[in-house]
Amino acid sequence: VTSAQRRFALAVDEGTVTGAALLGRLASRWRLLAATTLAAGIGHDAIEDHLRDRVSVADPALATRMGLVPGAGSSPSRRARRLIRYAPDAPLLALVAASVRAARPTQAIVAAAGWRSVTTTPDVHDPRETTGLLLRPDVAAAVLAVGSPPAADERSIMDELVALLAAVRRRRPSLPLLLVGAAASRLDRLDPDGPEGGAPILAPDPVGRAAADMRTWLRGELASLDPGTPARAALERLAVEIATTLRLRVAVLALERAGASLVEAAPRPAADAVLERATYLASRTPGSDTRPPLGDPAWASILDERVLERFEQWQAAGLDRQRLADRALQLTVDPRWGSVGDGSAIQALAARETVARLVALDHDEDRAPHAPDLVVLVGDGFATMAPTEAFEIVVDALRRPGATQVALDHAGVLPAIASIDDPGDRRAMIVDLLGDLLLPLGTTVMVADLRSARGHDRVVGAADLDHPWAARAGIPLEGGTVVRLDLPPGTGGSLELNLRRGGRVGPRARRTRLPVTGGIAGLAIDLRGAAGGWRLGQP
Amino acid sequence: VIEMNGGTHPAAAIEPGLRLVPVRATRRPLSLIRLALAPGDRPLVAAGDAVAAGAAIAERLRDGRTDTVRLPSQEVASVRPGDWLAPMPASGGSRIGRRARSRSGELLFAASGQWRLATGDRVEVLEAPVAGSVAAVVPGAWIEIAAAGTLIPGAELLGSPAHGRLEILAPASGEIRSAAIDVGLAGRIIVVGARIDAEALLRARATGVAGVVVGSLGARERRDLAASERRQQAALQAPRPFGVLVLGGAIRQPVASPTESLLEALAGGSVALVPEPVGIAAPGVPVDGSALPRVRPDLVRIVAGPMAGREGTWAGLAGPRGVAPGVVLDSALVRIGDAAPVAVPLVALERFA
Repeated sequence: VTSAQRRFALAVDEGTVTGAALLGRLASRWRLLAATTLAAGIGHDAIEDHLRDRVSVADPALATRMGLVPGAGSSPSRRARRLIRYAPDAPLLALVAASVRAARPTQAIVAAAGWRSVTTTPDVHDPRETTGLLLRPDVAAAVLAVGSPPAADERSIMDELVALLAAVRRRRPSLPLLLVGAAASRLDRLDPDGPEGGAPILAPDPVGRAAADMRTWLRGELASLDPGTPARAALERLAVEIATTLRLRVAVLALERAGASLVEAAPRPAADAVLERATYLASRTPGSDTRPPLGDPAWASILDERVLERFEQWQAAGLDRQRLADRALQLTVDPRWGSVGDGSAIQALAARETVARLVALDHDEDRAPHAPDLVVLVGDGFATMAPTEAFEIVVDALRRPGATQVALDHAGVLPAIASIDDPGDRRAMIVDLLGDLLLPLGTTVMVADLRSARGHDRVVGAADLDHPWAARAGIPLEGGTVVRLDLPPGTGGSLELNLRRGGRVGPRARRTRLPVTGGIAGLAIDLRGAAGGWRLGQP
Repeated sequence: VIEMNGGTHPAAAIEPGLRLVPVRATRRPLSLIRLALAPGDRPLVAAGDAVAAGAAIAERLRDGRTDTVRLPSQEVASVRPGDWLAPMPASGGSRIGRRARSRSGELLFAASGQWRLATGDRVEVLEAPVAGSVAAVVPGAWIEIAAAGTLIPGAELLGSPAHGRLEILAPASGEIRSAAIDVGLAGRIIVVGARIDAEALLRARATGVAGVVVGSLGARERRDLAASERRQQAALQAPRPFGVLVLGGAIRQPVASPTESLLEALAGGSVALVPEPVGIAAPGVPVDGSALPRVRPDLVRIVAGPMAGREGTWAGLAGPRGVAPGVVLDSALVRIGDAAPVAVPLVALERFA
């Protein structure tokens, strides 16, 4: 480690666009010196030189004091330590299911693991089509899913599907195979030792595990096959480190080239926080997870009409369906088009759609999650988005009863810092830099289980805001709306809710006091009803 | 000194700020071209074979299906998935063997004592889009052809690979109507400018045009083209190869001027639209040869925002600029024509090589 590397670090998070920041040690603390957002594919030396120049121009005295040499990015002995994170595109999985029934739960697990998938079932696709799918070079792994225990129709077809997979394995030994449900009992017919150098055939042991165990097993195996796992691990570490540092329940919501992620961690008394849940979704642009291969006559269907319908409802520009379709398609073909101008409005619609799908994927009826105390927005999807737009997406999509502060990783490099392998080093840097890197956007308060308002009287209660600069009393709360209040950044306050028609924000009580913090988007009190009872797109 | 197409450009040193603008390759050396096959498609060539442009290299099924066949016991041990089952003369072999051999197709797998066979009744010929040598044949998956020359990368190839003489019908920002297309263009690859409507596209196909190169293609035109493709596949007669190479995306933008210059240089010569890597292949044209124009190193193109599609010259860094409420991005000055330079976010720029 050179002297320069002890004093400076260049963090780069590469995606559709690249977030980069020059970090320096100042008074024994890591501080943010300069940050930028650039297109993908820019050399790291050029980025470092640019950021060094920025600091030298903006604060020559600081640059001199820190020994910051302009143009040192190209010199191996004088360049900063490099913290680089790259999230590759989500891999494609072929799901061969014995029936639609067997396909659905596996599809959900595969989607939440962040893989793109194409499904074939014998009642829709013939063996020729399934073999063709499995031989496609862009298919990175295959799953054979059969119900456990198999239904009568699945029993009759299972051996044929196993024979099909065995034949594909002889033609393409490098394709990893995973056996789910009753298919695991046919492991011996698939030549698990295989040819030398062949990919593994994986099945849970013992056969017939409970559904929850199957989910854990399959997600674990898919993670082991996914080249994007290290990048996702950085998000998980980030959530844990922030939760540990701030002693808050933290959710990291990432919108990246590879897809979207929702990772949550909760603090434990006198110990490090623990990862509670992680859900991934392969795409962030409409259609990119289901886009058919080149040469396939189905290419015109790359945009789902239902997605366009939602875009039509959400948009403010008043574009007709045709123009929306062209723009959404443009974003799919060239994601950088969404970085500024008209494209950014379409990108915001795509982000809204993706986050809604991610949250729906994460939704677990049996384990209703707590509202996180803090949502941290990271990734290139937020890099060029107006912060208020990003806040609105969280308000509309992440609808859990309670108060949640929303903050943005404005330099776009927190995941890159969290990719540091050494735990002590990683934590030291994150602890030092959180204040510099998190931009508070505001607080969202969601009230659930409100009884529906009837007639003209839609007022369901009142709120009092206690804040040094923005105190207000008797704010009327109207059911079915989102009440917006200015709440300047920098200072916290408290909100007291007096609810007349049921409703809860965490524990059920008529009067509830919640801590709220300010931000550039202010405070949103969401009175649109029970989580899940309201759908994106409704006014 | 910057490398330009294997040589050096007279502009010599690159301005440091330009290093923050991503480079889009307008040309690449042509090496391997991969053409997809599906199970049941029959390769007509083997690795090492030399092929000419337009030579039949495979028969593609137009109505593929899966049949079952029972093979004679003496053959079961010798066949493997992917093998081609050829029809056998009626007089030879056992009764079971003769029945099995009345059909042909690709053997997929054996289950319950019977082989599944990918087969069909109607085929179309897959032609080699360029001359070269067959590098690999993977039944049911792909054929690779090794060829030398230049590739102009594109975004997508819709339809089939195609080859023909390149003809430019419209300038980079232009558009053509269906009346501009007639049978005189049959067998050509036509360059139609920034956009083409569905009517002109379908007329091009109907009049025998081999392929279309267009700057962008909207969602409606893609749907119409897909419907046309389905109708062609359903017809009794095998359709002629027809491909549409989209250089950009779906919203109207002019073709980048370096790409336009390359196409002008190749006009009149034989080119091919190829699917993987996607682009226009110019076999036999050296990528660094003098026949192809060079690119100005300070030429930049705006890819997003209100000026998307415009080109200009680099005029230096402009520092951080606000582009939307709460969004500040590092920007550069771009001189477009004779007007004063305008500030454009670096993230919305590209340069060429």
